[in-house]
Amino acid sequence: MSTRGLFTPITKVRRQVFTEVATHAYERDLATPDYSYFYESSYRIIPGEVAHYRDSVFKERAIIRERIRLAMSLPLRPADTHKSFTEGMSDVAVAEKCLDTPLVNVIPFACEACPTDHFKVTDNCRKCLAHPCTSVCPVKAVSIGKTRAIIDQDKCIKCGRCEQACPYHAIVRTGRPCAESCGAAAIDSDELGRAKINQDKCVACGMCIVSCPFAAITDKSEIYQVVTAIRLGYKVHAALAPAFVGQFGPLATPGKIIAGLKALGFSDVIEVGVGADIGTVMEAEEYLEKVPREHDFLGTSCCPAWESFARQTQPTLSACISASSTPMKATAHALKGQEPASVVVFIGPCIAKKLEALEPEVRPFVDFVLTFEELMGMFSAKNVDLAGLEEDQFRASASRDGRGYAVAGGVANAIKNCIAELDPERDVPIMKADSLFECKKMLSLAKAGKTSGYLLEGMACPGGCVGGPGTLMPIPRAGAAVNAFANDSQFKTSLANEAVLPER
Amino acid sequence: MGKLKVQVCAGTYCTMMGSMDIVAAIESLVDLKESIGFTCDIDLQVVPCTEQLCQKGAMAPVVRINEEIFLSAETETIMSRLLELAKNCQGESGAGASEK
Ligand code: SF4
Ligand code: FES
Repeated sequence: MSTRGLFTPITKVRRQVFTEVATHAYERDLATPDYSYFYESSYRIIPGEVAHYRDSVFKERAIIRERIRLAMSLPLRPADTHKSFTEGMSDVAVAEKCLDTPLVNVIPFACEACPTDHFKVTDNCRKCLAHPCTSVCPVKAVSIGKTRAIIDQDKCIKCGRCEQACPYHAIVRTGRPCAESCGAAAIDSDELGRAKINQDKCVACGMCIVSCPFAAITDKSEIYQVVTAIRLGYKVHAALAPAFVGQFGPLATPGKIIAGLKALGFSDVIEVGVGADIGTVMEAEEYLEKVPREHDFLGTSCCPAWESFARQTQPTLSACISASSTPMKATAHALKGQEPASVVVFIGPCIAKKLEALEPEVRPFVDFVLTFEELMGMFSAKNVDLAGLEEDQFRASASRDGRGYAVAGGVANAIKNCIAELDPERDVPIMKADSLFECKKMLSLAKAGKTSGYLLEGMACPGGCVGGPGTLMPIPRAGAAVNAFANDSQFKTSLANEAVLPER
Repeated sequence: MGKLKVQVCAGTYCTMMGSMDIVAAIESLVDLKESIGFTCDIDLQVVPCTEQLCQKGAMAPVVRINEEIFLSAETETIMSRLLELAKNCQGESGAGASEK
């Protein structure tokens, strides 16, 4: 279990920070901004003189301040030298990209340095006569102490046999929630035993952010720059990822969300599902053309965390991962083609997309990336009551299959349907994985040559994009809303979508 | 059987502050109905922000059980109140078993 997908005090604080940052972005005097507002923010979020969650109210506020900096795209401050809290804020109060790596950050003094993965004897131990734990241990790491069994951590090889043998379930495996959530094994320790992200391995799936029970990990946000672009009069377009449906509550229908975005100052709202339709057709054609002649199999490319994970961990299979545009890139590409001077903001459930948008091939098209949670902070800052708005609509609609991209299995399904239309004779075996742990297993099968001719759908988030770290709704609810909206589309498959035609 | 009327706000502020998680928690009570001796019917409604009880977020989420209003509602408070009411479940009017 983890805190992911539950509303906890951590979720609340995170959303309050987004609201504070968005409020200042909208309300500040553009000529003479006063950043001392953000000192007050930390008192609004952590009121009073008594600590709420930790040992000290001062530490709680200090953590909020670092979160505010990150939410403005600023780097963390060092804990051992003086640097003013507001330093650099005027530099990021611009309509340009300020976000830089590292994207995912551990706030070191917020990390409780949880013990790393180990087996532990709990007080369930009754020091029984049989004590099978000692006899099953292959390396004699378990002995019986005064009150209970003791595991010698230096000897333990973590085989788990003692855990299985104990009649009282007294032995448990426990570790760091961040490290356990990270399928890329990117969580190391610093010299003080606190979590530290190995940025060479991190693919920014964001699972550690939503799994840390002490809210010690967070990513950077571009709320401030997006709002600044809107206020400076740029034409700012919102490209809404397929997982948006239902994210803002059951009363905020897709049409009302579109209206809400316009109330925030976005000039137009585009359905990224259309980009998914374009991507589907490209990947279907790629599959028909290259598998099995050039490539042993085809891996989907829409999830950037899966894509970088696959390329990093299995470089020899790199060529088999689709080279087609992701829905985000396809959408942004089309928009910039029509209006080169416009600003494109991708809004989705995803943190890895923020990293994808830094890539040289994507950066010219996607200006900023926001999550649904960050967008909610903007709605709240601007007092936009979504339920009360008039329904608006997208200029072009995505097909059922393009809308289905948001739920695990949806991408492969769309491509399979498209292949069936292009070449009815072709049979497409499919394999799917929705978590980096599953992706890892799938990649070893692929490496062993067991996926010849397959279409592999990889997604880093359990449940697919609706389970992404930047979402607001419980996953089953969100999935149901996405499916209902998908079935509502006038086009069934990606190929049937007339918006895809000019791209072919 | 008595009936409890529960209204959970799905306005922007309440949704942001987790009101849908409260809905999910209330729905989950149905699975536990037998083990917790819950005999009431729950009439669960998702309502818009009409009275601004949320005070622009400061008091969100807002939940109403029959006529009782909960500000800054948390899953634990709502669930325990529901369980309390369910124990002597007579419905709003007190007419109890004759209703529905
Ligand atoms: S890969 Fe994901 S879970 Fe792992 S460190 Fe990076 S963001 Fe965190
Ligand atoms: S948003 Fe729920 S009462 Fe206002």
